[in-house]
Amino acid sequence: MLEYYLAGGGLRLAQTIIYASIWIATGCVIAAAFRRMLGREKVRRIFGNDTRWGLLAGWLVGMLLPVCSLGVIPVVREMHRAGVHRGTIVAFGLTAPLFNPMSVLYGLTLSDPIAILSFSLCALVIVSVLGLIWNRGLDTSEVVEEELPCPGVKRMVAVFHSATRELVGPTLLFLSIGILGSVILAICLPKGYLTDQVERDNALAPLVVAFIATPIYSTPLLAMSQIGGMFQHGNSIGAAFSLLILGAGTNLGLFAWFGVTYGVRRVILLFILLAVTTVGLAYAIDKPLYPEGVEPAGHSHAFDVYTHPFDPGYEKDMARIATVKANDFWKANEFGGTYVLALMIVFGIVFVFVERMVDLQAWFTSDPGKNSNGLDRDVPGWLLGITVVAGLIAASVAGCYLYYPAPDDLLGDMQNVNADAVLAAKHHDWEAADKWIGFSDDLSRRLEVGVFLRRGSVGEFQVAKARVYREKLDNLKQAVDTRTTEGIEDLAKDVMTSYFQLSKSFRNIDGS
Amino acid sequence: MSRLNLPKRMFVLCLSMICTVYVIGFSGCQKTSANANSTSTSNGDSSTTKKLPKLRFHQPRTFDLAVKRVREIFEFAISDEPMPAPKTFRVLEVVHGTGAAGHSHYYLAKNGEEPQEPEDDHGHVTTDKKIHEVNVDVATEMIDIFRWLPEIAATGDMGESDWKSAKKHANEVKDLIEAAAKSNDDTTWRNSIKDNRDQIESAVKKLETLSAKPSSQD
Repeated sequence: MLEYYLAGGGLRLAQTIIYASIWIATGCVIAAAFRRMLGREKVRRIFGNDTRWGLLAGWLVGMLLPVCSLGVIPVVREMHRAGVHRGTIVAFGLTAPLFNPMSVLYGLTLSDPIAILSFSLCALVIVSVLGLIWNRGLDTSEVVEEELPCPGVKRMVAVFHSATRELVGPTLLFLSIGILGSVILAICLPKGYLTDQVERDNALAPLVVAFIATPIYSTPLLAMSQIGGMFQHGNSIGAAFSLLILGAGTNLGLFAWFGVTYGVRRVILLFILLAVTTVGLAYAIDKPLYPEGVEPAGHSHAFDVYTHPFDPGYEKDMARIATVKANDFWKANEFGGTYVLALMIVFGIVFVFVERMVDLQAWFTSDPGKNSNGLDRDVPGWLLGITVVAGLIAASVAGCYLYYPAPDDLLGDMQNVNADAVLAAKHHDWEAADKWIGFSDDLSRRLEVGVFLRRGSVGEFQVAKARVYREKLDNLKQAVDTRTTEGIEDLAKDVMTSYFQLSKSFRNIDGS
Repeated sequence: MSRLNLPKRMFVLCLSMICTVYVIGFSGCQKTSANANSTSTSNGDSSTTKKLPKLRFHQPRTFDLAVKRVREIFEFAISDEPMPAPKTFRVLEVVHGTGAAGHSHYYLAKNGEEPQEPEDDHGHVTTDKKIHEVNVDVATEMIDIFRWLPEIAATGDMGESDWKSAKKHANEVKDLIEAAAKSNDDTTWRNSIKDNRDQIESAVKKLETLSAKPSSQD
């Protein structure tokens, strides 16, 4: 039994860190940029402190910045230090983990566009309500302004210093709470939890999911793929909404920070308000947004990644299997994030010791001396701002095109992955089959998004082919999950056949 | 920074609300009892029955078979023959686990045999087994086939333009007979088919033409 919990917890811990690392690093860099490049006064201005548009600014900036519910922690800490109104902090803190250009694009192709737009607007309603209530009793204490580092190399070093120090300070504690909360929930929930509980005819589904989802950690893309899966399986739309807002949008670390900063009673109030508004809206949109023509599948896989990875009765060599799965997961999902995060933590520790010997803040702000090479220029703030926003948008667009490649590029990879899934199933290599089926499913969705991105729409014929392919994959997955050998050859053959048709339909897309 | 004042009473009220939510949440984690849409017998003493998900026992495997079947049903509907008995499917539901971690697997009986649970090795504990008898009448079968026709066509080799044509004709008929199929009244359903006989005949003929075409991509 101990091995069951350790192996399962270890695997979920590794997966969470791999998922979160790049987003956490990004959040630390954003926070450092706020502090060292913009300064507190400009941060307050960006977030509309002296205007009525603060909440909207928090929502808009949150929609643009690529952070998750863990990566947002260093950013909200910096916003608090800068004196941004707490309502705006709440609006930003809850919006940023939910949506970014890549996840919105993904969501638009998985569900009816109106559903994703409705989810976005409902999120705006939630953060607005919370932000307005939270803004009552506005702060009147003065914020201590910090001198900006001198332009040039010193400012770059200062940004790096702040980003890395963030990771070896209190932020690390809140991140740990968030990660451990998700891991502990995972090992407490047995495998298959909520598989059958989120059907549309379960009136309590949105409430049950809201209850479970809060400690969950999920990235915006992962959450959006699960939302799409729930739409396509005909699951409860209200439950999908609860999963998005409370699952992807929050975690225990974020609430811990709110509690430490604003008081335990206030964070309880925040949680209640958030839960009540989320569940209320979930019930409100549950029936109207239910997709037409979709038959309930009777099950959902949306919660598989948040539950224990092993069956309680399946005790064969769990530690080894957990290690193999973690390794496979790392190979498939690691894009340098863990290295970056590890390096930042190392440098953060180094800076802790350096600060004991050298007054870095004084060095950052000391006289830079004359512009000896004549190349340095003062860039006006508005130009810098426009460049940053344009750069963010350009990076998002480029990221979308990279993550969702053109069909011809992606189909090559997909052929190999599909073949691996089919062969693994035929050879009864269940772990491998489960892994490759998951990859195949993901690639089939990215295929549709890639077409949508480049053409503005996906043909209904191609959508039908993709849907059939995923249905065949789902049938195969069910047999793999239950280790059923009878009929698995036929199911694998169905997958292969439907893959060929899918591939043909997407390769011919320009000719149609 | 100034603090938001929160009276003690409000705090207690908020805490009570949280507890209430969690209690409801826990209770919601149990399987809901819903109206059974089939008769069932159980090996356990479970007093709750779970509504079967829509399992497509009567879905034809290919587009050709689907078109042949809708032709059969259509010819029957416009005749004066008495309604045939609904098709009965025997399904074995194997329940693994309990509570919210519980889930079911469904196995259809083949060719008059008793439904069997295949051997599997995934370590779940079987907590209950139930045999369901699911009845499908011809009205339900017909509307379901027309609803599934685009998807069935997509599993084959049909080209894009033919597929779009098949979808269009299937949806035409579906829109005509959907309301009557939901009425659960044989006479209403039959009258609806007869009233729209020409349109349905035309749509079915076009589907048969598509079925007869050799498979090709455009």
